[in-house]
Order: sequence, then C-alpha cells, then structure tokens
Amino acid sequence: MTERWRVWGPAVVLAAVAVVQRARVDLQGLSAWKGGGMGMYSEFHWREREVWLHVPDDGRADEASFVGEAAMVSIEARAFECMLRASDDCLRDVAVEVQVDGVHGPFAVEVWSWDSSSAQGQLRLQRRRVRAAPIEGEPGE
Amino acid sequence: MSTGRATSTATRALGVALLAYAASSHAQLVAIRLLLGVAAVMLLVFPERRGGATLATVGLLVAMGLAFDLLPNHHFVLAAAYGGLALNLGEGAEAANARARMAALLLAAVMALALIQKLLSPSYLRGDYFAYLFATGGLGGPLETLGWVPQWSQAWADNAVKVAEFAAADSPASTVELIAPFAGTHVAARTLAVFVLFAEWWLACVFARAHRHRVAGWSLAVFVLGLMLLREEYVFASTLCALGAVAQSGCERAAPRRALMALGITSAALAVIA
Repeated sequence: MTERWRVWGPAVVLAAVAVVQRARVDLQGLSAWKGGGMGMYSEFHWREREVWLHVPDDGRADEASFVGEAAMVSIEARAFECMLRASDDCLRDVAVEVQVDGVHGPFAVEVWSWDSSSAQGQLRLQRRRVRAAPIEGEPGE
Repeated sequence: MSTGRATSTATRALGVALLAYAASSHAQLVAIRLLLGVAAVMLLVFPERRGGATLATVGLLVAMGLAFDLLPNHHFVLAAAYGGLALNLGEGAEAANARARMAALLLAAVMALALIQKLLSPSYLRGDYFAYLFATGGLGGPLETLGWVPQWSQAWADNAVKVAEFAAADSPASTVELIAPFAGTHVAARTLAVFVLFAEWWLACVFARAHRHRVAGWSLAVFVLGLMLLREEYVFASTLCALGAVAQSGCERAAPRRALMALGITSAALAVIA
C-alpha cells in the first residue's frame, strides 16, 4: 500500500509554504503575489508599489504632510527590494542610501501601493501606504 | 485507454507544461532553463521513468534557492507536482491511483490557498482590483486579440495615458479617474470576483472528494478556458491542465481528460509564442 505521505506530501508542503508566505506578507510586507502563497490577483501587483521619500517642509516629522516637499527617490536596487518586501529593515537600508546621498533627517521612507476605489460609477486610481519608516536626524540646511 | 497508458499520457502533459515554463521564463538563469528543458524532454520521452521527474524537481528547487521571492506561483506548483510524481512513479494500478490522488490533492490545495488569499483582501472582495484590471487591459486582453471586444481598445489606450500621468505624479496623494471600457464595468468586476471565489471553492471540493468524476474534469476545463480568455497566464493554465489530466487518469470517460490535455497543449504553445 502506497504510504500516505507520498500522496499527501506535495499538497501539505505547498500549504506549509503558503502559511509561511502569509506570515511574511503580514509581518515583512512581502507582496501577496510572491513567495508561493497563491496570492496572485488578490491585490495590486508588487511592481505597482513605489518607494517614497517624504521630507517635511519645516523639518519636523510630527507635522509631516504631503502638501509640502515630497520626492520619489529611486535608490535602485534597495528601493526595488522594498517594492517586493516592504519591511522596516529594507526601508532603513534605503534611508542609509539616501543619507549617503546627502539628504539628512528627519524624513520618512515609505512604501505606497497603487489602489483603486469605485464610487458613483467612477473608478479612481489612488495609492495607499503599505509601510513607513521614520528616520530621525538633524534638519538639513 | 488503459490506466497505465492514460497515466503516461497525463505525465507527458506535465512535461509539456514544464517545457512551456522553461521556454518562456526569460527572467530565469539560462542554466536553469536548460536543466528544466532536459527534464521536460525526459518526461515526454520516458514518462514511466523517475529521472525526468527527479531532475525537474531538483532544477525547480535550485531556482527556489536562488530567487525564492521572485518566482511566480506556478513555479511552486510545478515543483510540488514533479516532486509528487517522483515519489509515486511505478507500475500497476496502485501506483497510478496514488499519482492521480496526489495530483488531485495538489490541485485542491492550489485552489483552496488561492481562495483564502482572496478572502483576506478587501480590495479584491470589493471588486475594485478587477475593475482596475478591466479598465487597463489586465483582464480581457485575449478577448481583444480575438477581436471580440474592439470597443475596449480605445478606453485602454486612454487609460494608459492616465496611468502614466498617475505613475509620474510628485505626490502619493494624487489620484486619477479611469474610463470604464464598458457600461457596468464595476458590477461586472465584482460579479467576476465573486464567481472566481465560487469556482475556486468548487474546484477545491470536487478535486479533493471526487477527482475522477467527469464533473471535476469539465469544471477545471471551463475554469482554465475562462482564465485563458481573460488573462495571458498560459504557463499556469498549462500546469493546471496537466495536473487535472493526471488526477483524471482512470476516469471512465476520457473526454474531460482529453479536453484538459488539448487545453494544456494549446496554452503551452501560447506561452512560448506570446
């Protein structure tokens, strides 16, 4: 008689991978599309995420708003990683790259995902913040 | 068709899916693609032997070790499928039954996991994500290629401009209104989103409990056909068809299995050409 594990094993292993993937989605900001969890089409694609550097106008993070200075900074490989895995560590790595580039705190490195909403027959494309890592430091000149 | 011959044919279908994956995964290392291609040929030529399935499993696992988070979901399904095939190759009805049951449980797991992920997503449940895909050509591309919905093209072109403006915005607070390609886009999107949930639930149940019933085979064939018409997910479609064909080995009626094999070969060819 065929051992049961040979028949059930592949499905159980796939399910275990999916459980781990889901935990990583919730804890590490991994895109639901990746990691083997079968989350494709459940949300916007990871390539529709963006890394934003938010530098408040007056240098005080507690009054940060998006009405003032904000610039999308593409720090190549690090930002690309943060689109896929929006973890705090990844965002801090981007912040280090940004500071090396000459931008000093306080500022916030944030990952935003494209999102959509429908109201009164209108389809709106917008963004929602996935994760943010505020960086302390001396205001720049 | 005897059980043995049906299984060999279905195993070859897995080889076709792997060949399509190897040929179309341009982001993969060339060495990995070659390895998977060799494994696929072995499966096609010697479906009863363990070598092809083992080599495929090894190749897929190596690729996982190199770039786990960048791999598409069908990579994981293929790895589980070939691992299961390698574990259950053998002569006789018992081995054939084990292979079919393994494939059925794997299919059921894929559908159940996909269902759960969607149930955890508010934007999916509202239908907003599918509405966005309909508005931008993410859903319906093959229909437009077939010339069935020519009137959607203009909306997609107009929305592409709006999306480009949105992407280039200097603030994450910016928004843009997209044009609906047809009347009732959001209603259709929400209806489709709910229907997909039902379809995945149904397929999970039917393959877990009655994988050799013709209803299981036909249900999967309809699901895959719908997937192919809405979205160019040809490798995934080919993988589902191959698993379904293995799961249906030993089914009294050969028609559903043959339909799955035909769909699988078609989608594999499209994966390479498209």
